[in-house]
Amino acid sequence: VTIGADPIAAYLDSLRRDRRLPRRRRRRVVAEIEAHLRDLAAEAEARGLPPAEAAAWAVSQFGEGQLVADQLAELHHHRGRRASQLLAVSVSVAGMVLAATAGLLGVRDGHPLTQLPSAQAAFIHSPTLAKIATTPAYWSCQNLKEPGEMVNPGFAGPVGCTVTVQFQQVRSQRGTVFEQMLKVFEFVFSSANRRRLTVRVFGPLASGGVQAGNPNGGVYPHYGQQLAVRCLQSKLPAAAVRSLTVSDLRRYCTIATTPKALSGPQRKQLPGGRVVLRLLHWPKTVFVSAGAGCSEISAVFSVNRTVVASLLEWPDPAPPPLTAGTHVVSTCVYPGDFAIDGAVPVIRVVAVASPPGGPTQPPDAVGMAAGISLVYRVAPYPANQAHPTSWRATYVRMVSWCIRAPGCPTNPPSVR
Amino acid sequence: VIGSRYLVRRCRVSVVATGRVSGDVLRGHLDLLVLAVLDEGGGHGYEIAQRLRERSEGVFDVGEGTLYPLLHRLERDHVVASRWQEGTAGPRRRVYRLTGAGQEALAARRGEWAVLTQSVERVLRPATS
Repeated sequence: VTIGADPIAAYLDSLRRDRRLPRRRRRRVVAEIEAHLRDLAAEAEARGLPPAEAAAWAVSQFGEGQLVADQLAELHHHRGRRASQLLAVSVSVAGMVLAATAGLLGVRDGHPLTQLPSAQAAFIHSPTLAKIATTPAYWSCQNLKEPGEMVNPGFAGPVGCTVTVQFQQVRSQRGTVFEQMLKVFEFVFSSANRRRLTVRVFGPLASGGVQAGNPNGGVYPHYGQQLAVRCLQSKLPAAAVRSLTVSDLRRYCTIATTPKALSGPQRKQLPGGRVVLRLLHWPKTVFVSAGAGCSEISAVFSVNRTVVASLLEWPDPAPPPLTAGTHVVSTCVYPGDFAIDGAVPVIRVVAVASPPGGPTQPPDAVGMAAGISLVYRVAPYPANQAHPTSWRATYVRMVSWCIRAPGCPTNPPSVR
Repeated sequence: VIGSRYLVRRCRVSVVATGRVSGDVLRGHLDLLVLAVLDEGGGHGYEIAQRLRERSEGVFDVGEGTLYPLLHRLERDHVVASRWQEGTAGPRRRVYRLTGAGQEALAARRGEWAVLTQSVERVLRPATS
């Protein structure tokens, strides 16, 4: 024990001189330790030590002042680093909120974050898609005022991407503090962005079209319309490429009613709607399409990285017979028959295969309007059943229908 | 979770053994000891050190200077909370108390300690054939 001029004061001075701690925390530490040292000295004096020796003993109990200062400084360093990370995360969160909000608000005309529709953009002339686009059950986040409204996120996209990258970096450094919050904002942002991709539609129906091979032989002519579906093929699940579903279509694809409406590289690949397309498959499931009459997607092609679905217009002069095991979709239904409060139900029906020698043609589309989608699963024609005289009455048997919503079956029911 | 997070950190403790327990044995367990002392009731640094001495019956003596970095770290981890308390006779003191998270951490650490001591006991016990 070294006895000098007030060892306690000297000890405290050494702490005060250490500038690694902020002034306020330094004052707190010194005050705490001074009280402690005075208590120790008083305890020693109570045991009979002289004041000077008692003070020196108290200091000796504390250990080296430098050691205490080092530990406190290290602690404060960690605290400061965490504060800076917290600030970075907070800024990122704010940016993410801004980006997500911008993405959601981007559908509104006149919003500063919105790039207004171009002059060429037009609302799609399809009651079906119009209703789909305005039916909340179809979209995870949508508030479209008008169907077919061009949506551009403006700078929300770049901002969102930048913020996302920053957020990812912070998360990789910091671990799980804001991970859950990040997921929420990622979901919001991706939802907004996904909706932007899915509701972009192009100009009105145009003439043109291509001829595509018929899996049943012959040529399947198209009647004046072609529906181009541009999808983010890289995002498409492999199963979806083989058999696109309506859900995939909404999620990953944009819809154009004419190849000319496609822009950029896709347009070059589809000059004037006449191009050699590589047939990907004849889909087992085909889709409701944009059409003023009864129509369906008859085939899905691949052009470069663009999935193009060709539109088949019914009535067909030589429609293929309904083949058991396939699905077909038609919009040839009076909307008023099934629409509920303007919503668009997806009605699942079962069609039976064309009977030998029986009619193979669905009813004429004249007078019918798009608006209701029917998904047919073609079942084997029942044995020992007389030839039908009415297509609707005998070829199609409605088994269920519902508005596309949670709980709605995604596959047509099995057919016995 | 809180307990396991903060207790795995480096614990710089000066433990002066008094003949029966080596300092290395206690190193890393001072967090638990301080939490256990504060579980009885809040106190300032001097009181905490005194209680440690008394309850161990003088077996170990904590280097009191290192108590404050430990208390500040526990406070940063929200295991303890502190506030100034004006003294009736003497300077004001910073009084520490256990938080709810501290209670949970203490319970977790007590469980770990029980497992540890029982396991050590079993290992040290002479084998019976």
